[in-house]
Amino acid sequence: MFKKYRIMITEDYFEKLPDRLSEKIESLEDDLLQEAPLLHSMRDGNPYSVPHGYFKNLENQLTQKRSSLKVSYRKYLAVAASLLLLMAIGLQWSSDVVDDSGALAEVELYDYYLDNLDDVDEDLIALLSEDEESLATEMLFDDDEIEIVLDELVSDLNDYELDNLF
Amino acid sequence: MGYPQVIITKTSKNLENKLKEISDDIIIGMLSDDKQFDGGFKRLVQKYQEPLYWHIRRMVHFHEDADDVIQNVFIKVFRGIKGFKGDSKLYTWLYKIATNESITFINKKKKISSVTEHADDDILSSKLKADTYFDSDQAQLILVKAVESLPQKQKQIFNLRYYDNMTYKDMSEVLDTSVGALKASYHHAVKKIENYLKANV
Repeated sequence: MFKKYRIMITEDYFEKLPDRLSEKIESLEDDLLQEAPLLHSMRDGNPYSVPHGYFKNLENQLTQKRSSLKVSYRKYLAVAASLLLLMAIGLQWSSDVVDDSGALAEVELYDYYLDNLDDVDEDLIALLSEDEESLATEMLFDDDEIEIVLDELVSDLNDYELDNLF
Repeated sequence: MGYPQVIITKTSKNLENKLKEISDDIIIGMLSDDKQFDGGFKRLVQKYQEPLYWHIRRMVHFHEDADDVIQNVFIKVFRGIKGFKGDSKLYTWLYKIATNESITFINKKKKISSVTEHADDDILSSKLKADTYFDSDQAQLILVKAVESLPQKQKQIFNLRYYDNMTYKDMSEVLDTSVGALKASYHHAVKKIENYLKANV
């Protein structure tokens, strides 16, 4: 007797059906067997191999690298935040309008973030970037230039220095 | 009116694997959610590490080099996945990164070694013969040399079509080249390689 199974198709079966059909048609068009029989006979061969368990190790290695990248990003963001704050303070001091209470607040804010880097997040940087957008344009800094400066800042520091920067 | 009943008596291993395979849409969905990002990235690596590795390996030939390149590819993917807008398929986007990284690697390597093209070919043969992770079957070595004799772009076209069975439409996304040009280039490549094989095997 036949055993009954549930019908199972992938979620995107019908969405991908046209692509699969055109692939099939293309393979008929190619007809490698007629055009290049020698090449056709070698199609399934793979002379390359990998060390035993390589792909499992690769997956683990990539997971570790990804974690270390996350840490690096935090350091990168910390440096970026400091640079943006320094730019903001510098521009404030150099402006024609002097606002003593405002300048004091900026310094206090800067000191605060130096002492409490955990409070610096991407949203804050984005906010600061928006505030300083017009000023940055006046200074003719573009994204690439800022990135180069940040890269140089980070590359000059070793891991220990980065860990103990602030 | 009910649906016609379909009775499947035998499910092929291949079909089972296909059904188990997680779709790109699910992976993209997981990656766009911070809480599921880690799981999404893990699945992306699990699904694509092998096809991308073999694609890279056929271009750079040696395991150590392919290992370096694939790690760089996934680092780039990790850094860029948030910016992936879905304008192209995830699969073609990954192949594009892998292809570009391989070319960058090859060009850097060429700059370092200042040997002539002919000498380069001989060096490749002898290095491959000595490589633990290369089965020095004579016919396969000749095929590798034949593919290596193609211009860089044509080599990529040949590899994607011949080895990866990629459709011309997808290749067009990976290589930014029209379908017509890809078809013409692939057929030229096939003829050249067949002639090379006839003369050397």
